[in-house]
Amino acid sequence: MADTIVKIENLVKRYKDLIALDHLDLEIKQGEVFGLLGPNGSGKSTTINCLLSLLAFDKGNIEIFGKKMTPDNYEAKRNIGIIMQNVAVFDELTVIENIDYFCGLYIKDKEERRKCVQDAISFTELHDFTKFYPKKLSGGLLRRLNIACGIAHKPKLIILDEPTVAVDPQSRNKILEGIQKLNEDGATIIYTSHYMEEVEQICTRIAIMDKGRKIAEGTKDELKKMIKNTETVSVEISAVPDDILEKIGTLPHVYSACFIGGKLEVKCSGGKHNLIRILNVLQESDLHFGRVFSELPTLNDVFLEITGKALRDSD
Amino acid sequence: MFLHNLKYDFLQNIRARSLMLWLILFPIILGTFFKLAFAGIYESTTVFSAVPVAVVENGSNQIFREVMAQISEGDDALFETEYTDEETALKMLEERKISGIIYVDEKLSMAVAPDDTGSSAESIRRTIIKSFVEQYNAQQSIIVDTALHSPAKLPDVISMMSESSECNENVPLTNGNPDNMLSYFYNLVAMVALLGSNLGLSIAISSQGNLSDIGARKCCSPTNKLVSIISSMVSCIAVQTVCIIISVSFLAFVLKVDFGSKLPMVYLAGSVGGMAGVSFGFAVGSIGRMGLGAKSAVTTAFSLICCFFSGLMIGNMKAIVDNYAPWFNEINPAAVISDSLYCLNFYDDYTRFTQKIVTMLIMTVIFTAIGFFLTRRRKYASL
Amino acid sequence: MQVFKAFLKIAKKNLPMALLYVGLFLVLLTFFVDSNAKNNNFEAARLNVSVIDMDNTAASRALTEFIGQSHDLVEIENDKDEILDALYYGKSDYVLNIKEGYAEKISNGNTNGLFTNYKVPDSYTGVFVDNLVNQYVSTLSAYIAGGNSLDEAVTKTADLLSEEVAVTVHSFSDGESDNADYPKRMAYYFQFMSYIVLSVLITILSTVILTMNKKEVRSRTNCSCMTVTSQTAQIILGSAVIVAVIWVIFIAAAFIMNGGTFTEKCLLAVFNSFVFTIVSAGIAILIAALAPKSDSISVISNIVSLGMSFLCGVFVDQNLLGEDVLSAARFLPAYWYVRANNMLSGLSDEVFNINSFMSFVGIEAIFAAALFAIIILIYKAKHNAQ
Repeated sequence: MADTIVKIENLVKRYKDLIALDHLDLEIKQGEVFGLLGPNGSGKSTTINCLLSLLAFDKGNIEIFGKKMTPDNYEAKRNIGIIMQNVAVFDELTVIENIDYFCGLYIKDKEERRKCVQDAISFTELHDFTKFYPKKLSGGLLRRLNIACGIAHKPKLIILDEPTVAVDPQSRNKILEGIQKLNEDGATIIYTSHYMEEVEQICTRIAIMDKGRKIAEGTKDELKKMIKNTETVSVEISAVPDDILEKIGTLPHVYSACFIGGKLEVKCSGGKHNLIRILNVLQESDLHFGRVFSELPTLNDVFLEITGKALRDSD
Repeated sequence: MFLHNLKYDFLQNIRARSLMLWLILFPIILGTFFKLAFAGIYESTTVFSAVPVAVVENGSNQIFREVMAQISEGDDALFETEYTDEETALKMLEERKISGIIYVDEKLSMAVAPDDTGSSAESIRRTIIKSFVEQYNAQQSIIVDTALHSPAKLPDVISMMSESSECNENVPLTNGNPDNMLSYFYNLVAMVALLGSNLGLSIAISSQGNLSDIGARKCCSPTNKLVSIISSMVSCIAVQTVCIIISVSFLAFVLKVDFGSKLPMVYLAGSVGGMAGVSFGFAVGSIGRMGLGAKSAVTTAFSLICCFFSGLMIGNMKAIVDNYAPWFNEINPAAVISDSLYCLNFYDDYTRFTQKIVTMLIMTVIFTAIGFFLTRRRKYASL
Repeated sequence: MQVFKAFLKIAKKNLPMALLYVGLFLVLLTFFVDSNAKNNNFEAARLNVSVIDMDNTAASRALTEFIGQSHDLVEIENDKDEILDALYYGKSDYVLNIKEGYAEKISNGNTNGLFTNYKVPDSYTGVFVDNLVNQYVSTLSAYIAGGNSLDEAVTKTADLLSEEVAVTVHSFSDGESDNADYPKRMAYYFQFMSYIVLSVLITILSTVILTMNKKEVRSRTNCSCMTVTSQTAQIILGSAVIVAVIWVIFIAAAFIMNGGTFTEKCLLAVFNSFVFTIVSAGIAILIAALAPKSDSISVISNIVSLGMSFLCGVFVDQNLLGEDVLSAARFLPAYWYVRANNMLSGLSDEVFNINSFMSFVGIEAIFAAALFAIIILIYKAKHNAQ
């Protein structure tokens, strides 16, 4: 059993009447890529800020590396890398100066720091931009700089708070690969996002949050097993008469069938030949259909089933 | 660690050119304006020049003419006289070419225009005419009096009157520059020093987790807050000192403002004043969650009030304050800074100057302590 | 009217700061008016004279009393630093030290070295008191030379010198009653108000406009179907509301200060200030259009407002400024504002004349028009450049 890196117990944070964190418990182990998934405003960033001792909280206990986290716990801080949601760099310093500055807050030794800065630059592939001022960088490069500033000191625990907001798919993939690489090199990662695909892609364990509460936790497979949905079949079709829809709804293993916007969507729980059966019904009724998809459950389905609403508006 | 912080704080301050640039431009532009605006004032109000008068004679009075000729001669002539008729004289008075009319009759009398210029120099000129007329009449009376009572002593009396008396000797008080327009320049330096508070604001804002993202990032690092605050402070003070040095140099060497004989000490006083300004900004920056704009409005407003009461806009404001609330001049930072410069110019010994410098240092310590006290908190109720 | 509405909302967020500024400046305004209105009533100028009497005889006390008749005696300690301070800050204009042995010397007919004095070198006040003292001594010694005893001479001198000279005051304007129409307090109020309005407007308007013009927001607005003229017009309209509110506050304060009435001349001054406020708004919007960094606004505001005020005679009366400065100041709107205001109050040599008053205000209006034309041009140019 790996060591516990972060332990959050019974955490409560209120902003006046609003309960931002409602008795939250989390445990993160050595070597994990831990995903905090939830819609905007679900309490992910608040959790991170409490974890970092930036925010005062009303109740609960936070331990990092087995010690209580306080603003003066410099030992813990030395080993944490933080990449904020907002880009936090000095406009007046160049790329390399920014990295060196933030790295220098952690590492005193000049020689060691120089190496760390170089590593961070190659890691984020910012070689060609070291003398640039942040204002001249594109959105993706700026994000990479933001990351480089956070990880240059080679922390054991890296916290990324929505690092990919407003980043193009190519840069996003680079970032995700980088995170995985950091993890392979031995760092424990906490990753918050509202992009479930990202979380599915890289996280070894995931907690889903909503309204300040942890509503589910586990590996992605564990999470998917928690719900009855095993397969969603969707068929592009011009119209489905009500009786046919009803007929499909009564097929074995099917628990929901609906027709929205030129698309028949059938949700199934268990069973093996759901697709064939559905298509058979359609064929028998002499209905013509277009493309057909059969999808395994996503984290969105998990979220949907637990909270009754989509993780985010479809996009 | 400290040096590392210092290096980057310094770089950042230097490259954030805009504010520094304006802080330097401020005294240069205003100093030039002051110089232009005040170029004539000391000469026209304070330095004495002959008073222009018109004389209207009713009949000829040879004695008066002689007396008048005597005092209207030479470099330190009292009057610039024109003999004319009443009509012309009145016209000249209306056009304010002369300050008054002297009527020569049995006794002298005079006429002036109504006092609505509000100029103290003009009113003094009138009073000089008046006292001359009084004196002339008085001497005339004495001669008449003596001629009546003891005519034998008349020659003695006349010789006594015509003898130029050395009864009153002026003692120069100081080797300094007596021009009291200087106080405007002193206050300009004070204003630059206090505007340094705009630099100081960033110390608090960039180290507070709840005021900026960078502050949050710094809070998450293992670097002690004290270290990072002191390094920002040192770098701000360094930048501010550069601004002060440029300002004072510009005033002293380009505009040729005469600060007296102890120029190096002027730099010292300005720089220490600048420290007080920066630390004041640090203190204000630490209070509350207002944005940079609002805080900078607060510090600037404060600087302006201080300078107003120390005489930036009205030269003799400090004397007025001294009448009503002398203690305020002791705690008003602008007054302390400008006073320190004044002491340098006027006093030979350094006792008062040192007092002022110590006051500034105490202010710096108090403001810094407030700043530390408020920023020492590491956890925030909200971000 | 979206831009306009947003503008007012942002302005509302900056309300505390705006109120702070307005309140603060109202306080300064009161001080300015008080300190200026006070030291302005001369006929025979009364100076502050300090006498240090080391002789302390009947004769020396008589001299002190004599000086006290025409001037205000200010107590002072016989301490060099104290004297220096008093002279520099104008607490005392002249310090006369009556040396020991004054009475004895003068009764022997010796008038040399009776006094020492401290004064600001080469000043009018110095010459004035020097003359007074000389006059006293020469009269006194003349009486003594004429065979009078010291006591007699002192009495005679006092009698003689207290005789007043007949002074006729020729008035060339319509009459003294005009001043009651527009009291000096009001005149100084409006004079200083020009500095304050300028300073407040630059600080407040620029802050709001800069928020509106933030690059991202601006680009987004520019992408909308709203024309740039309409945007600029709405920004100007929004500014107009803020400007109007601030102006009304200052005018209301003036109204209260003046005891709740405004005479005709006061109304002219109000009109003058209204036009100047528009000019100030133009300057503020122009500065914002040039897009300085927000942390520099307060310094820029100080440079512009203090600079213009000094050059145009807001702080220092115009008739004290040199000719060269004044001819340069003609190119600044505050010059015309102050000149018009001076004409109203009689602070300057110009005699009030409604036509020239209106022409001064007209020149301010031209400045305003020019400023707004430049503002529109800048916005257009920026729009096209993007």
